[in-house]
Amino acid sequence: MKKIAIIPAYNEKDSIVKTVNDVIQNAPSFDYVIINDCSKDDTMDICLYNGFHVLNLPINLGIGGAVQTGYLYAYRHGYDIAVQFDGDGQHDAKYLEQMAEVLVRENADMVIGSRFIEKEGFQSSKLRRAGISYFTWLIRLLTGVVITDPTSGMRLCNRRTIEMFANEYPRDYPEPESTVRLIRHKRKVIEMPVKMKAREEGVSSISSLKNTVYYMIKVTIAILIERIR
Amino acid sequence: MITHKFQIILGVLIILAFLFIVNMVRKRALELKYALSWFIMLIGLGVLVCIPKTMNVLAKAMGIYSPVNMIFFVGFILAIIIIFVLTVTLSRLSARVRKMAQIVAMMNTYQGEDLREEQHGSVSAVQDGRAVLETSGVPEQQAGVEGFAKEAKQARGASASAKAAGKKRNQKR
Repeated sequence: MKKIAIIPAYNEKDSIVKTVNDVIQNAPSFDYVIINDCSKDDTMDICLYNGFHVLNLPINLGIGGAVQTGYLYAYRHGYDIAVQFDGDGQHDAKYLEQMAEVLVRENADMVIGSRFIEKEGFQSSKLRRAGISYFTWLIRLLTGVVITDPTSGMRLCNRRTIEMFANEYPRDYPEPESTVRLIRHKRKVIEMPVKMKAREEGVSSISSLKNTVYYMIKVTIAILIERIR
Repeated sequence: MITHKFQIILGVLIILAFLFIVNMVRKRALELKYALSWFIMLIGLGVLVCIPKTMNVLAKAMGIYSPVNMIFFVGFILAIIIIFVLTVTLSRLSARVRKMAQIVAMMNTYQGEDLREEQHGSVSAVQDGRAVLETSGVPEQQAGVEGFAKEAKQARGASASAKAAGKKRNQKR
């Protein structure tokens, strides 16, 4: 069974080496591919210097487009399992093997690594948790399925889902929307407790007030529209 | 004061526009990001139409005699803003396409030369470009051009059939 970790990276020069080494050491059965989303710092140079396997996007596509590039790569190269693994050092590669096992055992289409099942590790700020539980509530209202951590970037997919994401993936803030999409297509989405770390370097894309308001409104409407698609 | 008849006409128009835009987004013909500004405009107009009092107050504040005029004025301003943002987006987009084309161009080596290289099979001929031109002569060059035209045609055919397939898929939805 071929497995791959998709590592989207935008301006992650301080954490990318650590992240990739984490995957290489703690998830030995996984290949990896870094998608450099036209970083403005020297992320690309660092990757090349270390001999990492990296795809370089010529223009900035945003997180959705970058991750989709990874899914497309995984699909084209015949991978059976692909996991998104963020390049900012929040995710912990020791869970990857376990997640893959759960996916196969439960015959699921996607396994989400959730911070809020055992409530351990980095729990994000109070405001963010409120936002996340709002999405949990919205998704439960619309689909009846409880996803405790719909914004988690740590998501492991089987080949069917890889194909679906390679064809169509939201452009920005893709996680909640694409999860709803999977549920609507009667795919099996399950969650598994993981611990995450606080972001070590760089800043979240959702930090200013303007971005937060835009994020909440956009994702809400996207989920609603996804429901009537 | 706005008549009830016109209020209803405007209300129906707004609702129709709203449904149309939602449907476009649903079919992925319009990206949600760009639809948001239209939603905001429609909601703004909707509020003005549903609660004419706000319209009177605003119109008075702005020194406009007729509240209906104000609807048109506000709608016009919002439309202008959206169009302006659109041109900005378009500029960014064309810059991105240009950059992408340039990078793709740098990734591709010139195929015409490669073809000749294969035909001659000698390194020296390739090293000296002029020698290649002299020995290859006119007929071969023409063949090269025709070959290109053929390739281009095939590529176009492929993209056309891909488009057709895409359309089919959309219809299925």
